[in-house]
Amino acid sequence: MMRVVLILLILSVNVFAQAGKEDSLLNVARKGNGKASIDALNGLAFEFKNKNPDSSLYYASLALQFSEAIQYDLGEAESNLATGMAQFALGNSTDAEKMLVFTLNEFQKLNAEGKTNFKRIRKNLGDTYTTLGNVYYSKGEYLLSLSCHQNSLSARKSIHDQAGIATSYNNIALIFSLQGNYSESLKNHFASLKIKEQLKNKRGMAISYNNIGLIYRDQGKDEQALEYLDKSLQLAKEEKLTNIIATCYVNIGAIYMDRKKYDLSLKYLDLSLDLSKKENNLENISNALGNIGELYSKQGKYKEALEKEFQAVKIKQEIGDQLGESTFLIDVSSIYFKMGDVTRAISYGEKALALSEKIEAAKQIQEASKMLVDCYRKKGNFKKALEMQSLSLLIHDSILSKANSQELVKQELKYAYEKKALADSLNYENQKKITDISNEEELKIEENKQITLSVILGLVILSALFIFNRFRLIKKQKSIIESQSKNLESTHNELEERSREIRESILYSKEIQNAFLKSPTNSENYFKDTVLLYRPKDVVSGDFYWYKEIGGDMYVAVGDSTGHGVPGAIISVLAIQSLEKTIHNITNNGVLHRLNEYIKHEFNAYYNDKDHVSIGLDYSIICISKTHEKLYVSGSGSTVLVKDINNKLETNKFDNINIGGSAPAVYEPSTVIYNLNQVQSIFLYTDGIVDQKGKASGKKFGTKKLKHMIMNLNTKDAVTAKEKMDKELDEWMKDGNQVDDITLLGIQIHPELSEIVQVEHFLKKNSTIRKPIYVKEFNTVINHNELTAYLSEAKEILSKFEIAKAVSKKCYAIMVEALENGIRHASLENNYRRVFHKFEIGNESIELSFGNFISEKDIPNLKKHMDIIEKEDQEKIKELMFIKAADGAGLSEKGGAGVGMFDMALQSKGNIKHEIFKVNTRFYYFTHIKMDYGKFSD
Amino acid sequence: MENLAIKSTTNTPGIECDFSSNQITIEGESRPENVRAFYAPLFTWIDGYENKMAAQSSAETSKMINLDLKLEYFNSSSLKIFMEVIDRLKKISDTSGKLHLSINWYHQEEDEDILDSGKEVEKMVGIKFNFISIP
Repeated sequence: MMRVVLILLILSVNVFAQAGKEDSLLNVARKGNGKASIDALNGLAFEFKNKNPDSSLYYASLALQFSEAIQYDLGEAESNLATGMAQFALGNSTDAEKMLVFTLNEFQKLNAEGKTNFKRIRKNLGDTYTTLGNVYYSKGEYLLSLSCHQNSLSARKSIHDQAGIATSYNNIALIFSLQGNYSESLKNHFASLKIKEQLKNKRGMAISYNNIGLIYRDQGKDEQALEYLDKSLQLAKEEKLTNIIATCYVNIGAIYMDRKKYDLSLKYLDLSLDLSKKENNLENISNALGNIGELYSKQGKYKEALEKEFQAVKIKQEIGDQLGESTFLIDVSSIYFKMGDVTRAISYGEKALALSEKIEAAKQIQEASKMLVDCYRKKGNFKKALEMQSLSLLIHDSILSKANSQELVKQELKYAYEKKALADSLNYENQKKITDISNEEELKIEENKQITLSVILGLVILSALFIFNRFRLIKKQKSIIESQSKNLESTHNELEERSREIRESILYSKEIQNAFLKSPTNSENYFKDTVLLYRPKDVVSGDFYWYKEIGGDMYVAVGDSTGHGVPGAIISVLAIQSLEKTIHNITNNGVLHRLNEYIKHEFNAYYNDKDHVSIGLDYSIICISKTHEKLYVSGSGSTVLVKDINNKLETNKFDNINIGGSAPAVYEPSTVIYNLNQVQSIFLYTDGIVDQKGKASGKKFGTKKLKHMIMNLNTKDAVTAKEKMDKELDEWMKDGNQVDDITLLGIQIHPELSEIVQVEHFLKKNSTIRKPIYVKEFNTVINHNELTAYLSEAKEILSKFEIAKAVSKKCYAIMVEALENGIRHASLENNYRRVFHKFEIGNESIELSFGNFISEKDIPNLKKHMDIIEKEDQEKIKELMFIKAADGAGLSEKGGAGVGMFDMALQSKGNIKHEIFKVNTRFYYFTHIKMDYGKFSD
Repeated sequence: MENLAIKSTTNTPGIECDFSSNQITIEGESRPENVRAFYAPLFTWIDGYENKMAAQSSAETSKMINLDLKLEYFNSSSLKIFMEVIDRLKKISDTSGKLHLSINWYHQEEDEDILDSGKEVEKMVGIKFNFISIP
């Protein structure tokens, strides 16, 4: 499911609204003359830059015209700045960028000339850098943006523009956080915050608190995050800043969602929704709705989730936010998929895909196509699935290269600093000189009016001479440094280009390898949950994982090929292919594979000479066999941990023989066999994890610690388990080197596997529809309301497939009786309350299957009824049913009339089969009904 | 005496009991989550009705009590309840001697299953039903 935690970033801080300011400016602009009038016009242009950018452009153009007429350089530059700002506000980033770069030059020139009003020039310089920085930020050019904001900061510092400094710190912080450099980001945020506190800029403070909170969230420091978000919220409430309040609610809600505190999360999301509704802020409304939808979906409340997501989609359509629309359509698709309604999942997935392709939203295209891969796979439409898979891969690749270029920013930055340190030492000298001169001049004018002209002249000449000399020297140094730096730059560029090519090629290999790696996450019929730690030492890995289902058997393997990096990856792909081939050779004696002979025969035969390169691997393989109700565990050079239902962890260490490599020509690995109903979970791993050295201790992680970690997982969901294991491993490694590829795959066996096996056996035995035109299946605890919802859905389906009314009614009646019986009989014990149902429509018939647990004492009565149905004819059954209904004995303890089975037998005209199975220590009761359309449509 | 009116839902029928006109109507789909609990008010009403009838002077003119069953679908538990209701009303009618019970069993024209069930119920309770087909 697409994660839609919407974080609202607030970029600019300076909004100073002053009533009456515009009027007085207009007055001056109209009545004043020369520079005063131009300044007023520019003032107006700045005032309107966000409120009404078009007006701003108009005033700026007037100011520019007049400035040119009287050669008022500062006025000209200011009007250009206002123009650039207004264009940015209008969303014309390209025009804005051009104009601002031009303006920047003008102000730099003015600054260098050392005019007396240098304060004003530098204020403008700071503003120009900031706006340009924001333009670059919006274009995703973070390196340039950062450099602009840093320049802005130093310009503002030189004139003690406190408000401006606070803004610059905030902007710099945002970029650092984007790069994941949280400590730098926080440093800047706090610097910004401190100034805002001094200036009592409450809005700015609220923004800082919010942004700081988000950084803590990114670092996983939820407590601090909540603390700051709460500060922001309180302040925003005091100041009645509704947009910030709504933002805080969404962010707090997101943190609680991360922590799975769904009630709290919902509370905050609802608050945000209510507030946004009051403000009629459609964008915030739809985002809150989408988040609430995600929340419900996480809780398994799919109906509610859909309702919210549909509302969100509708609003996104209304406001023309196609990106948002496609995001939420993907959610809808994913919810339907989770509900088992693959047809609808496909329909919405395709819609989302079409839309995201139209607007070229890469992330959305990828998510939608990924969703569709699963859908089409489930539908058995492998051609379409493959098509989607390749689309997903293609897009993933392009996103990756973009993400990668962002990753590079960090490294580029480092390089840029070094380069600057070399070349800019001079610039700094230069600028400092200029600043000194202007300061000196001012001082002289103000303090030493009585000093004679000759002295001044003398001083000026002297200092000019000094500067001239110094300048020549510096110029010489500069040219040397510049040429060195140019050389350095070209070498760097060349190296970077090469390394980029290699990196891209390896990244692409990784994609290819990923296409081969298969983690059995979606095999709900076997596993309750799976958890995978997969950490290649390099980009690609010699480790691999794989699974395949054949008939009622699920094979899962984890392997470690000789070497890591690219060579390892190539072997891993060969190994996977070999597994795919040899797995078909399974014999019933428990031997899982003939991998060794196959690899020796197919590949290593070519390397029998001396100095041969041998292809070898260590691996573990398991087979969860529903057909035999056994777990087979085997491997070579590896260890498999099996946790039984009593929480005992068993270690299965296999021969230390390298398959394909050092193993003898014919080698049969040993196999350990478990009864499936005794197994709770299985852990397959490569030696990378136990061999990993701790940075502090220098010791290996070791099997003992691994076992300890597994025994202490104590969690029911895989996400937390993964987080826990990742954390423990990280803490062990610290920032030390990873010594080998690490793979650990934990599998929790479906606790209802025996039940699933029985269901599958029953269906196999009785179901006759080979190519159903409609299938619906569930095996879950249901209540009466859910039954009602299901029944109305079934009604719709029956009419959609134009099943004769009489047949539909009978179908409906059977569903009611059987499912109500199921609900009634479901034992109140937690694990035995599920009701199984399958509804299939074929080309000629409808088949209905039902199953539920029953208590042992109900069995004799049930068997009596089963007997009657089998032996007696329809008339007799009908008679018995109405006699029992009229016996005046009242309903049973559970509220049944005791005639439901008779009713079902009558409705199905005797085409009904029953069976009672034993599942573990419980009994399970099945019914299967077949209805031919023809028979009923008379 | 209070009249009883329960609105219908997707899975429960509407029930109307009118004392002054001696009319009971059950209409819609009947498969409540808890059948006994759902029909409890109806039985309470019938209890009250029975008491009133017993208290009335024998001088009053004879009356007719009408039970209209207009059902689209009912489950087997509901069937059992209907049998009980008819049984109760039959007893009241029998004891009073003057209260005549009339049962109207409605069915959609094409819905032969409902009609068939009605005929079976008629057979069991031993009272003649009026079968009314709704086109």
